[in-house]
Amino acid sequence: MTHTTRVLASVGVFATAALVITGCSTDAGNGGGDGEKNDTLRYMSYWTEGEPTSDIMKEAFDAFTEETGIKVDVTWQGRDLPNVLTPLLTSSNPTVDMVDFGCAGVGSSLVATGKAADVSSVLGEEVPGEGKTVEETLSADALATGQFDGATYCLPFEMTSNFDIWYNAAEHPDWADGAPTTWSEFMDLVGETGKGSVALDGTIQPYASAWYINLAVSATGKGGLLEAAQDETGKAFEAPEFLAAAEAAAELAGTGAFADGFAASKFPAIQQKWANNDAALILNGSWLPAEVAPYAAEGFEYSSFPFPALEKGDIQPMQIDTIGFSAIEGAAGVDNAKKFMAFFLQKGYQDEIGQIAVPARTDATVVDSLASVQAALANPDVVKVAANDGTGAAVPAWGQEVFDPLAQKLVLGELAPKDFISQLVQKQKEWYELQG
Amino acid sequence: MSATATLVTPTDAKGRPQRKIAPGESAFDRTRRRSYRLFVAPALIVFAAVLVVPTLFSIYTSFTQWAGTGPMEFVGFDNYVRMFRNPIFISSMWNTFLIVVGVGIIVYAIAFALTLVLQNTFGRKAIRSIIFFPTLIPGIVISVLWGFLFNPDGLVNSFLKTLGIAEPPAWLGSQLIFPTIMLGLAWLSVGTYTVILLAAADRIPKEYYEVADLAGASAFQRFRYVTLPLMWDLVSVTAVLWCVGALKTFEFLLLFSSSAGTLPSTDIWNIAIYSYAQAFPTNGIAKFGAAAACGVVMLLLALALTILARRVMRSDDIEY
Repeated sequence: MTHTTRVLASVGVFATAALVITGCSTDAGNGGGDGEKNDTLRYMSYWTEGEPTSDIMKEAFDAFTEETGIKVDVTWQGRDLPNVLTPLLTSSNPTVDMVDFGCAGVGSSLVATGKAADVSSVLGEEVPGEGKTVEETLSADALATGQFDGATYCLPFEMTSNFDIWYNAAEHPDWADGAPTTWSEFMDLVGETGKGSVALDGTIQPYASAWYINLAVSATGKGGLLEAAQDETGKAFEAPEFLAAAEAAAELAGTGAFADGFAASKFPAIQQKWANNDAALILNGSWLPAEVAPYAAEGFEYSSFPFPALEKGDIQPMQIDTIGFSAIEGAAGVDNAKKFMAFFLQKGYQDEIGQIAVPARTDATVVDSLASVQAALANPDVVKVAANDGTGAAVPAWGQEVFDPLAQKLVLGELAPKDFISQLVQKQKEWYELQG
Repeated sequence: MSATATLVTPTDAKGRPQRKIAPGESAFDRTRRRSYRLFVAPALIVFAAVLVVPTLFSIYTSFTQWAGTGPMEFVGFDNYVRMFRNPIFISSMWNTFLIVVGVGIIVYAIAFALTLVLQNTFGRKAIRSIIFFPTLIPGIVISVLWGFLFNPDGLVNSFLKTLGIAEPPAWLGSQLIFPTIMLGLAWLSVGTYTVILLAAADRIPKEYYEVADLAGASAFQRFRYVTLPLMWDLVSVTAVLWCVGALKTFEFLLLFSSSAGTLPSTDIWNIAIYSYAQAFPTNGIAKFGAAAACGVVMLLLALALTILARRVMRSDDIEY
């Protein structure tokens, strides 16, 4: 190989490599240059094409384009959106203007890395044709989930209530008015319905640990668990409220409340038992009716009641999570994204969302199976808290690496309450030491 | 190529060495000899671009703190130090070891046993297809099927109950889920390795077995003294393939023991899942530096296992 050939080969190798590496960061030709009118909104979605929400969005895109002339260039990315999005944001000229995603996730990823644009100005915008601002139409609890350091980075359009107690109202019509409000009342109800009346897919850690999270938040109040999770010594968990919550959580497995197979089933086996009336109660989210509908018993009437307070005087917590729109900092189409955010919050679209999930607007109508959730959201006696009390956004990885494995063992009856507390304190201390 | 043994190195007018020319080599031969570079170059460029450069980039990334976006901060060996101090990584390493060695032993023991049994069995082609079948099934299907089999009310426990076992094991419970996963991985792989070993066994001339029969060898002795030595080279190669493949086990673990939006319990992570969890956490900022450090450790382990497997299984070539 001559010297020239070697040089050319080397250049070829490195040019190809450079192309591969920078391939993701080339401008897709948005036409958003200085002084040029940008009539495109590049949107990457958390949904896959064909999901009910994507159908509503498509309808909104068409109407939006017709009304504003802004064409929506959508990528139906699905649940792996964060994995795909991250490499696209390495460029100073991002190729995505807007995404929709869980607002808590936006806080712990896009906001934390400075890639989310402040969309606070949308709150004062009028929802097209309604004479009301975005802020006036949205649930304040939902809106709060997308606000970080006083600014709005995620504008919610859909909510989930993560862990309420669900039952079949056709089988238990009296529970709607006489729902237990304290843990002792709840355990009485469990006792009345008999052993194995509580369904739990215990191999899914968040499902098992949700019992303890709700009890701990009830005992310590909104933000109590978060505060303890941020204690680098772990000793905050030695407070008596956390032990009392652990003892209550351990009662379920200890009294045989869980349906057979709870600790060793493949999801969604036990959830299916509940949907077939083989268990009366289940702690689950507002996605449950849609999830079990294909295999639920005939005539099943979905209803739920808020999680009971640990003791009289403690709070009844309702963990809420939201899915919302975020604009990408530095992207050419941020203004178009803001316009679409306000556009999509029209009541018509929110009513359509209400047929499949809980809308972020308080005045939107919802399907019957979610009526109990919407009622609880409107109930001021039920305290709305962020999912996992905000630990997912504020202390990422703590749940996965410290808390959930121990809480799962506690709830499944594999770890005694006192051991749970001592191991949690120790593990949390070690975890923080590792974080540096 | 004996001509290459007598290469001479001519010099130019200034005494500088010129290109080596084999005596008697024509210009056409020379051009032909060089032309391979032209054909190799595209592949080499692609190989460098998609494998070598990303690998070097990963090694560099492992010494940085990087969220996948924003600046990369050089942190030296910090990612490696944190990783080896992290009990989750240590348990992930142990689980990886159990898969590579534990499942490997199970797979080879069953594959050898099946080779021994099937070598002279009538209808072995059909049986071979059947045992190869699990390899063809996508991981998601296997995951669902495995859950169906090992659920508390599943087929396995129903069968055990018919045998009179009132309290069958909780296969998917925290105590047994990893052994159940190991069983699943073995089930997935046995077919492939059996088919490969059977193909090697089929190539062994019948005369060797006839001689063994005349000497009064049992079936096991035939396997031990004829089959195994004559297919040892292939066993050695497949052992390397197993080690590298098992080290990267990912799909089955993830699909079998997690649900949408969640990762499996840290108790059953291997280093591939650990690396994935660093790069794509359920919550929070991606730690590509930590993920790359884990990837580098996997690369070194793969190299070490490959060398080890080749050395342990080294034998003299047998021609037949």
